[in-house]
Amino acid sequence: MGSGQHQVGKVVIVGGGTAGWMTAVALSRMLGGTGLSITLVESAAIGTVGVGEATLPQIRHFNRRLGLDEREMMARTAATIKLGIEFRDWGKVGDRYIHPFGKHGETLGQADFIHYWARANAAGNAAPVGEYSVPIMAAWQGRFEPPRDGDDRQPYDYAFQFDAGLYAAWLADLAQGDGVARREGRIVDVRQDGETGDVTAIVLESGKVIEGDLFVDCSGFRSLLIGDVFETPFEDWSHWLPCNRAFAVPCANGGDNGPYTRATAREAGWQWRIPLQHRIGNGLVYCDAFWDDETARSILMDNLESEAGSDPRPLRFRTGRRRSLWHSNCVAIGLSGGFLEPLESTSIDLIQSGILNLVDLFPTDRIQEADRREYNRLMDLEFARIRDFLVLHYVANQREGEFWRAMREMKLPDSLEAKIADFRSRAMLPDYSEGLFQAPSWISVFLGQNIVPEGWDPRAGDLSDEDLAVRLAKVRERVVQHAKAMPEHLAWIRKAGAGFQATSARR
Amino acid sequence: MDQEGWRRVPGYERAPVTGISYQIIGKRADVWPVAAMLSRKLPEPCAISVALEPSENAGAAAIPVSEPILAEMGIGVRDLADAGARFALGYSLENFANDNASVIVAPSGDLPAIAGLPFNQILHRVVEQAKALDRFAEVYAGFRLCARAAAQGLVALPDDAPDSPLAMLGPLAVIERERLANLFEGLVPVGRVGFDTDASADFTIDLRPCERSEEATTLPWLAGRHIVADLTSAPLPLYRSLPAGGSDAFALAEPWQTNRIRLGPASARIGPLFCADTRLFLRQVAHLMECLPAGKEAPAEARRFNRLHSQAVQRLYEFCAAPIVLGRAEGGEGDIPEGLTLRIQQFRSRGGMPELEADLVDRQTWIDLLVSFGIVPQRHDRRADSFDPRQLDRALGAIRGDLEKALANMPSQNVFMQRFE
Repeated sequence: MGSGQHQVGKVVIVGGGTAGWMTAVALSRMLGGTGLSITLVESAAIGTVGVGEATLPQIRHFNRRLGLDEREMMARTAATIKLGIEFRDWGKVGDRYIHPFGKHGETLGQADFIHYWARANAAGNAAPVGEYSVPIMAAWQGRFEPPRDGDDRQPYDYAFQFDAGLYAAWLADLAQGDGVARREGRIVDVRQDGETGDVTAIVLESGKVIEGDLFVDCSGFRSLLIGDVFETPFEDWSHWLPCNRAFAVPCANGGDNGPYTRATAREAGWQWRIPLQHRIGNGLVYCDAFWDDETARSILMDNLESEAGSDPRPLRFRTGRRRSLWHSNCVAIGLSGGFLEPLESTSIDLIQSGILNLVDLFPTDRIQEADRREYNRLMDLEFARIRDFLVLHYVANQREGEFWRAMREMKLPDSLEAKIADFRSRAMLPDYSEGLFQAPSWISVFLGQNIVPEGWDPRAGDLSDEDLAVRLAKVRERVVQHAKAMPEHLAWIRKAGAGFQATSARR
Repeated sequence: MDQEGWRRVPGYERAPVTGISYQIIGKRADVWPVAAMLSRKLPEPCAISVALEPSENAGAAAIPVSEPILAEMGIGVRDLADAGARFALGYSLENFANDNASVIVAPSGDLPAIAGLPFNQILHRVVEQAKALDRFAEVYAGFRLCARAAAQGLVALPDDAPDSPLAMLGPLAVIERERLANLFEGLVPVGRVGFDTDASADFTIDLRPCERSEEATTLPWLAGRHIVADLTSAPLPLYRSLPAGGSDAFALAEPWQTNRIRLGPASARIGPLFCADTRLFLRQVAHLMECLPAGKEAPAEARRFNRLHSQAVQRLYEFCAAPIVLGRAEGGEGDIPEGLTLRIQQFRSRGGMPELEADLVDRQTWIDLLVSFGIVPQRHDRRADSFDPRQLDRALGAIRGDLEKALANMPSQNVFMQRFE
């Protein structure tokens, strides 16, 4: 079948949820014209994780490629706007910074802005770097408007915070409207080709057999195909990211409608707050070597801004990824392929990357080893670069307590060790051209967690001290004015016609 | 661990950003690009001295006019022309291909995407539909604007018509290295550079040719290759592969160590093909500009520079090795560079061209090169199958028409040069 000589004509997606339905819509819209038949199998009896409610700006690119209407999506999923992520208490207790979806500052001379800032900061003449960023200042003030064509303001972008369950339901409607077949049922058997090992069919509890040429494993942590069937090795990264449990719980909005996600460091983990139009999504990620479940549960419940909407739901995970995300004729997308904690809202982005790479490499007549190898190479890069960025949040801390001390003293990946030394010594930033987190992201976390450059590009010496101070002040003033001129976040949502409209899903 | 001193770099205290001194040692063709960059980029208190070694004629080089350090230093096409450069749109290779046919390698930007898909994917689909895959290279050759213009001795600049196919062109300046050095020397402010040997300089930039040492990595596909360059050849710079008698090919892994920075001939010898040594050197000058030391000790800057150097060497090695690897008779001669293997496999399998970190060569140039050496993709992007073939035919026809029109209106090299008179 898949690795053999036949046309790859039947795709079977194992599992619904965000990953499954995103895959279904994308394949139907991007490859549907090539004669592909797509079947998604899910069981209503099996819940989805669905905590990935915060996204990154890359989702807008994904939406555009699929022709998805952003405002409809917002209305269907109770989405709010997200200009960045606020981190509280991560460096030291009392610290607060935003990792924005945009850059800091403006061009001041031959060197990049950060070098001028570092120079002024060393002389005590710079404001916190966040005050030179439009999305940060807008976020603090609870304001938003989209960037405009021909904008003369500092460039910035935005993402969404939505109800992942509603998002999956909306996509399910769209996918089924595009011709994707949904089959309900629990999978009880997987049939494989005796010679190639390829999956040839899955068997449902009802006895129904669903055949396919290519299988996409979106079964979440269960990893039904990539794990149970193919036993693809799992690369465990818990020595770098040891948090392994979480509780998730909704509550009513306590009144803070800032367009950003919040991550607050706690004694042995961190708590998320994701504001939606109709509720707040909350959760606590922690490490069971430092906290038992009851302690974690209490800390989450004690730190909600209003009454909980349900009992907290426990989640268990192990950080890492499968060594091969495309094995034989099976591609793992979403949690089945790996897990990185949602500290930087990367879960949905990893799903998107997996889907878009699959579309780019989608086989015609047969799957070739070159397809698998390239897919795995691209996804390896993606996972490793996100991993380093996440680890940085933990190790760059000055907090008290056993957990944070252990984080500070861990042996880092070599790639991260060099990145930290480069920034501290000369404000040099990772310079890879591909990768989710580019220079402005690293600046935010380095500085936000008190890794301050001790040197800078000597080209930043091309302005006098006085000139530099004046120009920095002007940049800051422009940023403040641009943020202040934006409408209030929720007012913008209402005016844009993106207010939440609860609709019953088709399925 | 001290919380406030968290992961501090040992020995690296707050850096003084002024008063750092540099000594540059080498032949004038190599010294002046570095001296000009430092004198323009470093603040005044930084002292720069040069120690010129005796030099014979450094020969010519054929380099892209878009080389970043040229733009950074404000050296434009007119400046190059005034310095005696002539311009061409590609290189000619002889005796590299199995059948000894000559091959044109012309830097090229992307052909227009059709329905969001790379041009070659659509062309493959159309040619396959016509059951003419055995003629893919022949059909594709008609769309190689840059190579066709190069072969006809035509030349233009992308800026001449940025909304036309001319935007794909990647012109090369063929210029004597001494004259290129003069251009850089002319950018140095009077009195900015001293001419004394300064043994006490904080950093020494060493440009003196080196021999291969234990710390160098051999470039096996280029070592021992006898490749002769004839850059005076018209209309294109010519490279001929001869049976035997070539020189060594190697690169240092870490050319910046403590306060000694080795660039150009002191850091690598990749060989004459595509003027790789000169291109590496000019890239290194640009990299040094990005890594200028913040203090008198610069371990982070050295680490960054060495990484950029390794990437540049690797990418140049892959490009220079490509005609040798692709043109060889069956059988290996050592490991093919990883990046080159990836490109060949992906292109052969499905017409894909992976983007690698620090690419020096445009993706379309790679595609042209692989097709020139007979690699035809086995498959195309599946999305290409979803379009009406008649629409694709029309799109291809329109592109071909635009290319022919651009070609017909492009001046010869001689006519092109008249604009600088």
